[in-house]
Amino acid sequence: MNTNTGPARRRALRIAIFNHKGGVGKTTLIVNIAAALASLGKRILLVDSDPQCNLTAYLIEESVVDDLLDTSDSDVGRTLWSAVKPVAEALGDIRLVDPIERLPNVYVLPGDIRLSGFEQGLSPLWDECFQRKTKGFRGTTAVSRLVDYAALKYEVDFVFYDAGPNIGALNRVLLLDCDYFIVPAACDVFSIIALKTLGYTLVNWISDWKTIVQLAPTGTYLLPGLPKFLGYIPQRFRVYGGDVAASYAKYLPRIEKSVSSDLITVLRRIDHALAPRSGSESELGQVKDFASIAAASQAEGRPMKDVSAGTPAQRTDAEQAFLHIAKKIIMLTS
Amino acid sequence: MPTFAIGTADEELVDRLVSHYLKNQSLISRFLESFHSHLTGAMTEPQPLSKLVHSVKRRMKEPSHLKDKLMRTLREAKESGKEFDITEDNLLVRVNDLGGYRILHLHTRQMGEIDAALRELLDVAQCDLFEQPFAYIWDDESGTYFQGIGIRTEFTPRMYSSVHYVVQPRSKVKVTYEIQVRTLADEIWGEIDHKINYPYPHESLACREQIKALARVASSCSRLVDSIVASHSDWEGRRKAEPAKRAPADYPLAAPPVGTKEAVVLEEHAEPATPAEHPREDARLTAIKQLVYSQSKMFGSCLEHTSGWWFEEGEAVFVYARKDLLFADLLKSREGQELLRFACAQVLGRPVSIRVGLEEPPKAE
Repeated sequence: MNTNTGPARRRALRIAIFNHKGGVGKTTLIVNIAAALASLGKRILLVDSDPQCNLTAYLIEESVVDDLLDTSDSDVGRTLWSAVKPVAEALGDIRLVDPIERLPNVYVLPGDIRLSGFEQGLSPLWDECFQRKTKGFRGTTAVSRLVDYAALKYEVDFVFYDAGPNIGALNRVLLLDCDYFIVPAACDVFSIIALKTLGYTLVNWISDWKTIVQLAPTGTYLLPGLPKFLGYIPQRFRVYGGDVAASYAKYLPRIEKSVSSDLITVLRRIDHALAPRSGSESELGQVKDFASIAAASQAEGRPMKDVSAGTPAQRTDAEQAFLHIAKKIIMLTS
Repeated sequence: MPTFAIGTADEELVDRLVSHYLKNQSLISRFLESFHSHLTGAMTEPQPLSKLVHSVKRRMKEPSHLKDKLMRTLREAKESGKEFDITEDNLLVRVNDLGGYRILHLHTRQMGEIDAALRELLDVAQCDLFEQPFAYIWDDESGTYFQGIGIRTEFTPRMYSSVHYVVQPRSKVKVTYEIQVRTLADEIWGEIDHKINYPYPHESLACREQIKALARVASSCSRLVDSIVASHSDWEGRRKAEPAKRAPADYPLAAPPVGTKEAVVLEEHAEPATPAEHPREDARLTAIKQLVYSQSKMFGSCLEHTSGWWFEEGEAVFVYARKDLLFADLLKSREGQELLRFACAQVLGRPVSIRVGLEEPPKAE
């Protein structure tokens, strides 16, 4: 096994967009942030690690997606499942699959509905890490090592994991593989409730992994295990005359408060470095409800700034919002 | 006032060490669990440990026992003017039995095979031996046996019998734990001794004497099992050899070298007419078989199937019926050859080369 201090690990920063409350617009967010980062000269790898494959469907034409899923179980498969299948079936190590370039400088490792099968196997493999068994470590680090390969080969600067809306075994290994995570939050009460469990879940994962690192046989490839909170992005609120609509406005301070008390405070209990900035400094930017151009972005498989719908002003507005977030990500991670 | 009085600072140091242990207790316990899962994996048929291990136990050291032990060590250090150098940094490798694993088996002479299998397993489990194992013994016979299989011995007048391995997992954090291997009978002694006679000897002479007597009975018990197992496999070997005795005359063994010897059909207790013919050969073969069996049950069983043997000009030849090709092939392996060479040299008193061959097929009329 290779070590986790290789050039791929140093160069490409890994970021998970993660909130186990679904429907917060995380796929739209990833695509548009990636496009903004690419326009700033960065090279991006998007990993569709959500078995629902929304990101893959977003960026790749339907007929191609059908084809990818039809062949993914075979030896020429190109999805994330194709890569981890030998590990999931205990037949060997990962198969190195190359990502697909879908926007300029934006590469995609396609998702796969079969990934949920891999996820089921990850729970016992996690236990095998505690038992210091090679098989456990091989499975737990499978996606990480595939990303090492792809990030190095395509000279990527940022890797984004589109993590499914759950706190399952797959997200556990993805989050522990990340340098940072970003929480997209919708302006509703469910997003606030979700933040409460998010902090505790992450703390459990990180502490468990710390134990595993102590137990691990010398020379084992290990996940870095310290995903730092990069910030949150409130999304999909309506704006009238330049102001946030009253029904959404009340949620913004509540989200910030919950980020502070339920996420930052909890993370800092195990390591201050996991959440270096306060709640009020943690908003990466806001993504308002772009309505028709958001829908067009999804339908056309393009970032909002390039869609055919909406007005030029709306598109510029969207472009600026995501550029702001992209610049902030670059600033905070460099 | 004695200079070795234990002060508050000493007690605080010991308390700090005990709480350091408590902080790491679950981690050490996880290492034990890891070993346990590897061992139970290796205890399924047909792996060697499945036939060797009777049962296992594991425990973490009681914090109060650790405190006792550290206080005792500290007092002894002061009394002898030595430095007490256990610190929070080295506690987990200086005290080796914070985590304890115990393997129980039936009789002493399984230890050679257990030792080999255990070393292999520790490597698979990504662990090193922190030091070479040693056997606590209190009598010469056990001492000779353990030294014979390459395990160091340490005489203990307490009459404790057990083989100790100190294990260090290959990992970032440095810890050690202890594996004790002992027979079931020794376990009975160990349990009662630990309960009422350790770490401080019982005040009652009668109790102390009875515990010693129990050690002798337990040891005799293990030896009796050794003897019963050896008798049983000897009997089994003979029973398996029965068909060879009745081999028809027109089904000859591979021809022995010209001019010197005829093949010896295996059977020490043949008809009254034959024993006088080759008594020495039979005794030598029996000795070779026993020696091989004591080193490896597998190769010992293979050798039981030989249908005949001879020794000629420095070469020992073992012959097998065609149906027993498998056993001959196993003995042809490098390990089989080495073991046979070793056993033959021991019994025959000189270096020998080894040949394992098949019987000639029946000649066509």
